[in-house]
Amino acid sequence: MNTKKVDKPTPLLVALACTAGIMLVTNWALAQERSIRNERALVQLDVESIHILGGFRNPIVRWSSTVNFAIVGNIRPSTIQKITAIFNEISLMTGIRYHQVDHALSKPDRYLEAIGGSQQPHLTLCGRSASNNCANFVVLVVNQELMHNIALSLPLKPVYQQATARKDNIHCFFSPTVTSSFEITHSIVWVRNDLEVPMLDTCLQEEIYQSFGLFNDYSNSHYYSFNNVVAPKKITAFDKQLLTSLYDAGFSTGTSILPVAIQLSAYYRAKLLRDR
Amino acid sequence: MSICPVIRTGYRATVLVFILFISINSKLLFASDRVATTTHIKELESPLSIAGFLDDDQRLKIFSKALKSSDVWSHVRDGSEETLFVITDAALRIEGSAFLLEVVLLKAENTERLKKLMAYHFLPGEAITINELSRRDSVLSYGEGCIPITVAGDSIQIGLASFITETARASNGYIHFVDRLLWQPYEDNHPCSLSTSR
Repeated sequence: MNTKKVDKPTPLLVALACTAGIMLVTNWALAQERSIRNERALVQLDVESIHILGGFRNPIVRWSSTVNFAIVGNIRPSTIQKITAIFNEISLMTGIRYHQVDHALSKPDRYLEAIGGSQQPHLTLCGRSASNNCANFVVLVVNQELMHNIALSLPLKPVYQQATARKDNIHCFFSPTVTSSFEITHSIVWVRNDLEVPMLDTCLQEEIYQSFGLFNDYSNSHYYSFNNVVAPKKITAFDKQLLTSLYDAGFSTGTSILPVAIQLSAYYRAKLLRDR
Repeated sequence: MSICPVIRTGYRATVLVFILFISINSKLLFASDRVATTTHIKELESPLSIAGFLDDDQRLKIFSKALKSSDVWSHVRDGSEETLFVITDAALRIEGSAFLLEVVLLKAENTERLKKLMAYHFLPGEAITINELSRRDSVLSYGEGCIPITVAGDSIQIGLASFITETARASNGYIHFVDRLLWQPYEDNHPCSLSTSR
């Protein structure tokens, strides 16, 4: 009688096969989880970007002309250098040219006097060398009381007049002027002159950056420094990238901001796929 | 035993030590006013041309691609004597400008912006060594922008905020690595001063 001999798998082989199977399933599950986590992070990036750009119904709002900035206030030369460096960095990201009006007012009262008698308040600070070289971007580093008087004289929107009137511990703000064709033509940045240097630097950086079209803050943001937190902080790489995307000439002023935000998340999605 | 020779010898020794101390310190004090010692800046030598070096160095992929996409590239490729400022992918990511070069400036609508930016990094007709750079007040870029140079201690600052981190000698010029992109459009059309040497 012929008997067929069947080899039974040894327990060791069974154990190895089981372990390999478990490892495969675990790796697959981990990869899935990582992929979901990455996708969630990218969706979160879209949500925050859209919010910072003013909401999904908002059109692209940005500068198109040269920014001529003037500084008002008695501040240190090192702070003036920092302000210039901020404008230079923004210019790199946006392609918008800038120029410092050679008429920095160290006595802020004079600014109030100047705007008091002007029909076009923002345009009153003009350079000495050329008559057409007037500031369309004024950085004021002055005390709250003076800023309140300036806010009344210009006049700025009621929200700024009220904010500077109260005894609240308000550090800084920006107030852009946007035309009906969605172009930013002027901006005023105010920073209190009694802040400690780290907070002063933070305020200057954040308000000047936001004046270029990143108008909103997203509370507890994962990516952006525009997060409603009042503390010394630095501009993030995402802040710069969103600004870069906003000034992409591939998108027109006044059109939807959605492609601006999606372009950024698409960049990171492609990067994740490449690095996988 | 007379004590005078001992005092005289001691006095002379003290004077010598004092002179030695002053001379060492004056070197330390005034070194920054003259030329950077550039001891911390890594120096490389390459048998390749600048174009070949860009192809070969894997750290410069983003900058290389952007440069090759710009109108400045043909001048860089064909130049016989030139200087180029470059920035590594890692430094671009730290600066937050990798997205600018990898996505936005590669679009047809932004061709002029890319050309202008790349032009700041290219000095045609001059192979400038790191030591020569440290002796100058400014350099004139291909885009006619005058880029100031500041020497502080053993660091060389190019433009407003970029520092040289590494330098390479290629067969047709020099490549200087900077930690940030060069950009200062307000200096456009400002002629560099005639005396550009310290």
